[in-house]
Amino acid sequence: MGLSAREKRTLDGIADRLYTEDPLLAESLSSFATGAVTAEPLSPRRGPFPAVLLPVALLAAIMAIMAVLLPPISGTAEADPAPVSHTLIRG
Amino acid sequence: MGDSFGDRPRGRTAAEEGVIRDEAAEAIAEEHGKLGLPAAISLIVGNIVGTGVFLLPASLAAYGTISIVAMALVSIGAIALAIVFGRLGARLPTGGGPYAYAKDAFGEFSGFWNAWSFWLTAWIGNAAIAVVWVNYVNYFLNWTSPVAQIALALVALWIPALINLSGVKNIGAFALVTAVLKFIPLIFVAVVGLFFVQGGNFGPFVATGGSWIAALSTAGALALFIYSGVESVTIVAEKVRDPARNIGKSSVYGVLICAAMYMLSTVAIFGTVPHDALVNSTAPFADAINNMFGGSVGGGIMAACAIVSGIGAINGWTMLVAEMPMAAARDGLFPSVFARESRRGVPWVGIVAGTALTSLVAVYNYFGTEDGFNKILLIATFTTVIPYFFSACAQLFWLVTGARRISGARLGRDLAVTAVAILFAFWMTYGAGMEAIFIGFLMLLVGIPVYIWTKAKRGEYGPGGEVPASPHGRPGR
Repeated sequence: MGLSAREKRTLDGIADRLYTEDPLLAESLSSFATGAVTAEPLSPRRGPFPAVLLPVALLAAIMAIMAVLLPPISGTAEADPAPVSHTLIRG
Repeated sequence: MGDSFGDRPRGRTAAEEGVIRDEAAEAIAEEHGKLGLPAAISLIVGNIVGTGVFLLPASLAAYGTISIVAMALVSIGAIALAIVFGRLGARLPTGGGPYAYAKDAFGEFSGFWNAWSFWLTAWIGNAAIAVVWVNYVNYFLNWTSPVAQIALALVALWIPALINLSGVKNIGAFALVTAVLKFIPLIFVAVVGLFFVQGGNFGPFVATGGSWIAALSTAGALALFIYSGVESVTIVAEKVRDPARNIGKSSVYGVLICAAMYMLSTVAIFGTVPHDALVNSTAPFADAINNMFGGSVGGGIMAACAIVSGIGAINGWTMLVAEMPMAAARDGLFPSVFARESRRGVPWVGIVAGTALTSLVAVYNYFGTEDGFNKILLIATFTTVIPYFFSACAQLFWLVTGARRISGARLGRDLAVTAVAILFAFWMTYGAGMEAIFIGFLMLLVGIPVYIWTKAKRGEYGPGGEVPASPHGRPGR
């Protein structure tokens, strides 16, 4: 996730203050980021297909089935939008 | 802060200590002015229970007693959504609620779209409550001219606006009082009515003549929006005392209270008012009271209850109308004017602007066409769902990425609850109907130029957004 220019400016301001107040600490910290950054690395804690993603795939499948089956079952969404009478927008 | 109340530390002057004491006192006063758990629950209950509840049993009766099953399913979905909001509120106890969650999980544009969507639904929906509120006031006044009704609608909108402008403490107190007042007759019907239930009044299980699946689905779609407002406390998180704890508690308790009231009152009314009469009723709660005790006093009692309920709901929603854009404006994602706060610490621009827009829609109801007014209200239907869906998906996002803080059985439980909340929000989207989705989506697109405008004004991109050279000649960039 890239930083916005505003966020970059804020970080720059913080870095400038750090350089002014404690140059040695600033040099030490900057040594951690001397290499070229080509992409934001993701945490390598899990394998290529973590089991926790199975429910996500299942959820997507259920949503697809609902999208296909709900209109023919109840028909409400195709006809007059009955559920949206203005007294029932909120309980 | 502890030392400001203890012995004076060595080297600190009396003046310095006085300053610290003042800061501590301000902090305590600020906390004191925030919403506690009872006020937070009242805000949720007050926003969920508006004026629609007073017609709901009659609308559901047309589908038969299967609609009680549908309501139970909807209630389960709403409770799941409340739990998800509680988890998200504990994780990110900042103002804006669904806006903040979507921005945190999916980026600025998603956050903006949620703020825009919620802002639309909040002020447009208030117009619907105000118009229905006028009808209940006219039970007593019978002011039928459009000008008189407009005057009443403006009273319904601007009294809550003035309460909102007077500060958070007054908003909370008003929410608490109206929530209690509206609940006394509703709970009375729900509990006492059970003693007057007669089996013959319930009518058929499926009254539509079609399949039970179709009746269940359609009745469910009708009831899907009765829990709108479940997100209320997340939006005002900064004005809630101990938000990490109280957002979750108030969201779940608030929905449980409403679910109990909805379910019990529906069963009680189904059992005390004969089915055929209930289907055609314009005041089912009043009919239930009249059937229980005889006479015709029920109409007046329930009209008074609806008046209190409606103005209480407008009070709470007016708060949200202003709080959501304020949170986005602070991040530069809504026009900056919405971030302005009064001396009483309320976003006065958002309150005034939102109420003014609602007033225009309400006035349109009396001078425009009814069809046109209903079309405007359809926008609020679809845009209600967007924040729910994104928030539930944000929770799923955090659960399946490395940012999660739980594992094992707790992870499985939270995944299951989140999946129910997502499917519920998806069902709500369907339940909004084609026309609402169509108009609502067009209004979502209208937000994109607003997003571009706020970004451009902020100097985000282009030459104006270039990172300036370091004034200290800092190396290494």
